[in-house]
Amino acid sequence: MEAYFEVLFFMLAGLLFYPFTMVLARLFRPSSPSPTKLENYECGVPPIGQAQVQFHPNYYLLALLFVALDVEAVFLFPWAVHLRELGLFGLVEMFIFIGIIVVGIVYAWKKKVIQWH
Amino acid sequence: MSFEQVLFIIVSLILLASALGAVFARRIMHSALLAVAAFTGVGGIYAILGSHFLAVAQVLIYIGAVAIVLLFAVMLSQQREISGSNPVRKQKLWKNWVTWAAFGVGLVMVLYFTVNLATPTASQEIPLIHTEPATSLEGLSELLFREYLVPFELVSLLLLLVVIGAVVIARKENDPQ
Repeated sequence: MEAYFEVLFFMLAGLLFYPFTMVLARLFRPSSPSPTKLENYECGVPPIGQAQVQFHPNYYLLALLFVALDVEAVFLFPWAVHLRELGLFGLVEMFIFIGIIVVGIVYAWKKKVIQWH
Repeated sequence: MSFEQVLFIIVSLILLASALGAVFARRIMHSALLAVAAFTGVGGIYAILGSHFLAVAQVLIYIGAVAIVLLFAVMLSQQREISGSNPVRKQKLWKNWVTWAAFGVGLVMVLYFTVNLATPTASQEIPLIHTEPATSLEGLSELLFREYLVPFELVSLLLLLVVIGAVVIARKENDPQ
């Protein structure tokens, strides 16, 4: 439980950082509002259109692939910690596990999902 | 009251507030972000209860991956104006009998299981648990990679189905090649 104090500290520091810097900036900066300052920042060039555009559906597919790979990656942690005791048996079973998922990735690759088009 | 109890109450309140916010927020994007906050709260509850691996998995999968899927789904489907885009807002939930039925059933189930599990004799009669629950990562991997090896390998088949299903559905909708 004590190990989580660092996590709590980081969360609190992250939560307080934003209001702290905002209040600090408000105290020191001069106030001169103009409509240009309210525009979206697009690396210096004038922004084109709305910020809420419809994204390409391919992103969603990549996100779904990422979910599957993420679930797979989570299983690697307890396996890696315990691999010495599991021995060759553990190594083989994890390779079977990954091998089955790699079939899906190869399928997605062949269907040109990962490519940009 | 111990420190962990105080922490549990604080995290639960944040979790409940963000879950309610996810249902009642005006914009669907805020709903998605508040749902991610609720996922974080669930991870916190896991950590307080001592399931450290489950807490890490919650952060990695739900906050890392499912949150991205949620946000992408919103960004892909919303066309223009997203103020007032949460469909729940348009219904009068408290006048709908389904709301109260779901609330009642949920409450009864929570009370039943809490009372049942709190009594020491009842908890041993849960049919699914044959082994002592593992709290350490090593104990967990011993259970996962020896005793429950077949379910573990079946998970990879499930993930394979997820990948292939996603590809098939997306290809059909995009461009029939």
